[in-house]
Order: sequence, then structure tokens, then C-alpha cells
Amino acid sequence: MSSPQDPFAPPGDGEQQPPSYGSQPPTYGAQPPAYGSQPPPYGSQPPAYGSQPPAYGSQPPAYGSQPPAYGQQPYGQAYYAPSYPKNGLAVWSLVLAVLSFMCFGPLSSIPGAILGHLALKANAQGLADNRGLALAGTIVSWVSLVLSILGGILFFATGAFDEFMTGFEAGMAG
Amino acid sequence: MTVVTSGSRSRAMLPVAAVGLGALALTSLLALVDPHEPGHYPSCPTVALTGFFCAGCGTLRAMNSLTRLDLAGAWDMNPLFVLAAPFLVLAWFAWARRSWTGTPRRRAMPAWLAWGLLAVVLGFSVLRNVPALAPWLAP
Repeated sequence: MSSPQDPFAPPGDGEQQPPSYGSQPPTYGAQPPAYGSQPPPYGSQPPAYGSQPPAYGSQPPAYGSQPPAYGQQPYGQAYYAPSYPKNGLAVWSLVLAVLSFMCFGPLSSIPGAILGHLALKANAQGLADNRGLALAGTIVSWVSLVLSILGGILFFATGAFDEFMTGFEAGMAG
Repeated sequence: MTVVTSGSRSRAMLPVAAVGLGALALTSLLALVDPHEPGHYPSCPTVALTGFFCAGCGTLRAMNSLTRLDLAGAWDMNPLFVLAAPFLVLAWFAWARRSWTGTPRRRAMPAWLAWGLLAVVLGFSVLRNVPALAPWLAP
């Protein structure tokens, strides 16, 4: 199935992905011209060096006004494109943590803990904005993992394993 | 997530197909080999160790009952799974459509929903071990 689709898929995705990134490519596209137009200013700057120090003095207010601009972008983009592309990590971490309480045990709590730590890192890097969820996934995964380890120790220490196997074998035979 | 990380459409559809085929294979196996009879499948480690039922206990038997269109039998084994199954199927189709069209997930699961799921699963785990509720909730 996949090989017949390959010739068609790349062009289709190539057309569809730029919209998926939404408003980001335009901004990226707008920046190179901005850089392109800067070199001429650099050429004209040497005479202007003398006038730049006062310009530096006026920059701090400019920096002061930038953070609100950055703060507005994520909220504006949240409805169209994932401005926090790694929010999914925390969600999956907590989902796996929940699944680990449904028979999956360490099979799901170990990946849950790993994803939780990755999610915390993504939050620290500003790639996600759901630190609470990431923390929850990490903690619940670790709690589940510790319970599994304690359970596993008890499982073998109390002879429950032998009981389990004999029951299993009896079932297989019967 | 897989969509956002880009790649061709077939690459995006690969995990969708893998999960779908896996679910289909598991369902077929459960339809053919009845988990109501002991010994065919490994038992839940939680119940084997502690004697308490976990939230997932009875899921295999419920799936087997569903393949025989025995909704009541499935409900007796694991009502939470019976309630969740349609949503799981819908989520798979939504995932498949997103991967096919290349549209990214509009937003991650809201935090309250993830917390709610955790509360439901843990609450269900506790309640189905309460003797008074066992006739309705225990497998």
C-alpha cells in the first residue's frame, strides 16, 4: 500500500505542510529579507557608530515592549498551529501513567516516566506550556513504577509466582 | 505529533496502520481463543499478586464478548472498557484522518481531561473491589 502512495504523497505533503506550520513560515520568510536589508545599513553604519551609543540607551524600552509581543503570539497561534509543538509529550506521559494502572504496569510506566522527563525539559526550553501536566505524568509514572517494583519483589518473595505459574499450567492442561 | 514532525504521507500513516492492524490482530485472537476459559492468556499481575482487581481486569473477556455482540456480557466484565471502546475507535479514525490530510492536531488534550481520566481509572479500580459494588463492577 505504502509504495504506490509514495510518489504522490511527498508532493501532497509538501504542499500541505507549510499551511500546517501556519503563520510561522511567513515570519521566517519575512526575516531573511530583513537580514538581507541589514547589510546595506551595516555599510552605512560606520559613520553612524558615533550616534549608536545613544541608540543603545533607547533600546531597553524596546526590549521592554518585546516580551508582551512574544506573549501574544502563542495565544494567537494556539488555535491554528501548535506554537508549543511539544505539549503532546506531557499528555502521553500522563496517559501512559494511567495505563500503567490497568495491567500494563512497568510496560507503560517506564515510557511514561521517560516522556515525563522529556516533557519537563521541553517546558524548560519553552517548547511546551503544560508543566503541571508534565509534572503529573512524571510523578504518577514514578509512583506506579515504584509500586510495580515493590509488587514484583513481593511477587517472587511470597511464592505468589509459583502459585501463578501452577494455576497457569493447570489452565493450559485443562 | 507524528504529523507535525513531518515526513511523507505514507510515513505518517505507518504508525496508524500498525496500531490498527495490531488492534485487529488482538481482536481476532480474542474472538478465536476465548479468555473466559483460564490458561490461554497470562493473568493480570495485579490480581495475581494482590488479589485486587485493577481497572483493566476483564478487558480481554469484554473484548471477546464484544466480538460476539454480547454487550451485556462485556459490560459484566469491564464496564469502563465498554464505555471507552467507542472513543478509542473514534480517536483512531481521527488520528488516521489527521495523518492522511497532514493537518496537525489542533491542541493537546486539556489538562482537566487527563486528570479526569486518572481519577476515573483510579476510582474505578477502588470501587470494583468494594464488595457491595462487586456484582456490578467486578469482572
